[in-house]
Formats: sequence, structure tokens, C-alpha cells
Amino acid sequence: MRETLVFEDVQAVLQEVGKRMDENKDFLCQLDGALGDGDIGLTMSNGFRAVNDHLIATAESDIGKALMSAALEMGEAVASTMGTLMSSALFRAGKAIQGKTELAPDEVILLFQAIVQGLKERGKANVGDKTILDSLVPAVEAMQKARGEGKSLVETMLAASEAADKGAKETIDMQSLHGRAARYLERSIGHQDPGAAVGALFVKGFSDGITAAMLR
Amino acid sequence: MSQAVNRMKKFLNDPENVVDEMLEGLLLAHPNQLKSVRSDNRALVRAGGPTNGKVAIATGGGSGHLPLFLGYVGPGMLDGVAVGNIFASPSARQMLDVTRAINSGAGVLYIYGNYGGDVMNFDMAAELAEMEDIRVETVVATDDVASMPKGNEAGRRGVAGMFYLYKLAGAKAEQMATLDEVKRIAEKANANVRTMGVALTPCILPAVGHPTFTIGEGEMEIGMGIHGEPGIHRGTIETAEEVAKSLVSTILQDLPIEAGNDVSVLINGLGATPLEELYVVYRSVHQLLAEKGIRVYRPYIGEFATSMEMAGLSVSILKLDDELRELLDAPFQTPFHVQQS
Repeated sequence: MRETLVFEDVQAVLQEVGKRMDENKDFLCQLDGALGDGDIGLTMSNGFRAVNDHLIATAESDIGKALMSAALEMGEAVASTMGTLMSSALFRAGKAIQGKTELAPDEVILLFQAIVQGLKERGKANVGDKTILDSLVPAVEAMQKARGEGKSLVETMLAASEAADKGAKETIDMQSLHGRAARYLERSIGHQDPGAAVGALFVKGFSDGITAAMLR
Repeated sequence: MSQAVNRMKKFLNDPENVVDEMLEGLLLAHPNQLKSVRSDNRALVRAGGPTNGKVAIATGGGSGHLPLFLGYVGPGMLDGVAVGNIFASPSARQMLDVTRAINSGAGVLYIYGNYGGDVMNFDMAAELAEMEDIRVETVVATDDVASMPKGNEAGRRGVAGMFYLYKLAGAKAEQMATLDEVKRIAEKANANVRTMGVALTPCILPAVGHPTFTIGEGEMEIGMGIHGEPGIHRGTIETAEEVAKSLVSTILQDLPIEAGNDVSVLINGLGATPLEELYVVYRSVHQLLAEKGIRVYRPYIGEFATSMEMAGLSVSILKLDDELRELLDAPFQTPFHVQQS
């Protein structure tokens, strides 16, 4: 099986992410309705559509540069907090892999690390605050562990996706400590964090997309 | 509840187009002062700019607060502004487009209010600008005393007192000072200005058409934010004098000012409060300060940061020293305000 992603694979992977956001639009809005203004499903669906439209249309061959400009398209398309955070995170991801026309497994991990770093810096939140970091950080840890054990890229992403999913579900018992949801105080307990759910869907899209691409 | 059908009367076409149509109107009215650098008009800069060698100052934020933010572009003030939808941040790219258009090589200072979306987008815009070798520095306005207790000043919102950051930094930039110097003045202004607001009625988002919350008949809310963020005290409506006393004493507890000091006072109407009432309140503010031996050097009374048809006002007090007083005296001209000198 192949172990590197070429530009077309990255396009396909982000299409898969966009599909996950579309499929879960109502679910995400419902989660966000309990803790925010209820539009996160729409912003993620529209945001990734902007990303994918750009990745399809671009003449750029540098994956990093293409991702950076796609991230800016998302920022223009969706001005909400999550839209801006995700745009900013994808921009950092692109910056981290600038100059690459294909991605080795470690560079996929690097991309996710840059996303997490970008979200931490831009959103000024930490693990345990009940945010998107609570699904993405366990995902990155699982990736690093799997790679350390010599697992393939597909197995690595599968482990990451499981960890992200588990992390997202664990936010149900947490209290929101960041952003608008923090105003709900202990009333936020019992609701899954919509941002963490977005994170889990993002990793799931990557995992499914990479699996399909590697098997092609 | 029958109130739900009680839609607010507004002069609108399609509520979805209110920002676009407002911007078109503004550009048609002030072609000698403002220029659009994007086809969507969401990045406006001084007509005739940039000024060679001058530090450029950019701001930005959501619409719905005129003359904040875009009304402060002009000589003696700001160089450019990124314009968002009603109560929504402009995008990082809109900010970057402003930054590129106003940079003349001396660097760009971002001054804006402390709101999550704006902070994230301006930080990202700064990162993008730096990749293009444009030096950017940032000062975030945090003048709203009611938004966070003392000790947590950095978390406070920026409201009408932001006018002073624009004014003083703008005057400094006009003297061809360096980016570090202009930034120092903006920070100094921020450290020396405090604002307290009071609201009598809520604001209404054009696309919603009715208030999303209410303030009871005969009630007022002290400390309410310019997007309707909850205040610190809701109670029975008081006289202008009592309101002035409460706002001024809260400010002076937060920013001690000694007898013999000069201050500038800004009385800001939130959109639906007539100038008459602002002057009634100013009278009391002036008296209260005079009783403490504090002299009002240069008052500003009018609309500086509004929240559509919200009835209410805010009082900002800026503690002056010789340096700030001289910068305050410098002339400026924007589509909304003119100061000769």
C-alpha cells in the first residue's frame, strides 16, 4: 500500500471532510443550539465547501500553499468564531507543509500538530476546557503513538479517528470553560461540545479519505 | 406572546443588504474622504492615501455601531478600516487588504476592540502581513469598566473610549512618529481611559427585526455592552444626575484621578438618545468632577459608538498629561466629526 499523499489525495481527503460536515450539519447545529447560537453545522458545511471549491479550482501544485489560500477562502465565507478558528488552523497547517507536493505520514502528523498549535494560539484555550482541542489533541497523541509503534498511515489515522471520537464524547461530562459556552457554567455539563464534535468529524474525514486514497 | 409580532419599524430594503447599502451610501456621500479597495466595499481607506513615510493605523469590527469603526478614517485619525456584517467580525483577508492598501513602509498599527472574532482575525491578518514583510503592531482597547472586574483589565471590552486611542495615536502618527512611538501613545491612551455605559432599551438586529431581549418598563441596565451583553446592575430608572453620579464614581474607583488633574470627557449616545439628554448628563458629570477639583479640558458630546436604536449613553473619562493634551488638541477630520484645533 502507498504511504504518501499526492495533491489529488489531499483534494479527495478534504472532500471527505466536507462530506462529513454536510452529513452532520443538523447534528452539529443541534449540539451548538444547546451551548451557542446553533449555526456551527452551517458554518462548517459552508466553510469546507469554500475550501474544496478552491482546492478544485487552484492551479497551485504546492499542497501547503494551496491549503493556505483555501483556508483564507474559508475565513471569508464563514465569519463565525468556529469558521475563523478553523480557517486559522488550516492556514497554519498549510504553512507547516509549505513547499511539499506530496505528504509522507510524518508530514500528515505535522499538519495535525500545526492545526492544534494554531487553535491553541488563536483560540487561547487548553485541553479540558471543552473545546475542539478535546478531540484533536487525543487524535494527535494517538497518531504519534501509532507511528511510534510502526503502524501504517491508514492504521495511524484509524487510531486517531477513534481517539478523536472518544475525546468528543468525553466532553459531555465536562464544563465549558472557554468562549461563549462558558457562560452556561455547570449547565454546560451533559451536552457534547459542538467544537469537539467538529474536530472528531474532521479526523474521521481524514481517516476515511486517506483509507480510500491508499486503497485506490 | 403577542410581542413577537411587534416588529421594529426601520428604514430598510432587504435586511440582508443593509451593510452593503450603508457602505454604498457612505461612499457616495464622501468620495473625497473614503475609498474602497475591495469590490465588496469591506475594506475602506483614506482617499488620497497612503501618506509616504507615515505609520498607518487600521481598525475594524462589525457594523451596527456608526460612527465606530469606519467613521474614524481621515486626516488626524485612521488610515483604513475592515468592515464586518452587523455585529460580526470582518475576515482576516479583508483586514489584510486594508493593511496592504495603507502601508507606506513605516508599518501598520492595529487598534480595535477586545472581541473574540476581531482578535482572532486581526491576529491572523498580522501573521499574513508579516509574511509579506509588513511590520504590524497591535493595541487592543479595553476601556469598558463594567465588562470585567479590576485586576482583569486585559479581558475588558473596547467601547466608546476607543475614540481616544484613535484620536491620540492618529495625531502622533500625523507627526511622522515611529511605529513604536505611535503604539506607545495608543497604549498610554488605553491605560488612561475608562468607560461606563447605561442602557434604557435594547438594540434590534435588522435581520431579526425585534429585540432579542428586553429591559423592563421603568428599568435601566448599567454596564450593558454595545451588542447587548449583560450589564452589572439592572434597576429602576434614575434621574440623569443619579446616573451620572453612579457612572462617574465607578470610573473614578477604577482609575483614581487627583484634584488638579485635567481630563477629557466623552458623552456618547448609543443611538436613540437625543443630544439634549447627553448635555443634561454632561452638566452633572462636569459638576461632579469640578467638586473633586478635576478640570474637564476638552469634552466630546455626541454619537461616537452606537448600538443602532439602543437608548442609552456612556461616559468615558481620559486622564490627561501634557503629552496627551497636546495630541488631543491636534485637528482631525472624518466624515462624521471635524476638529479644527
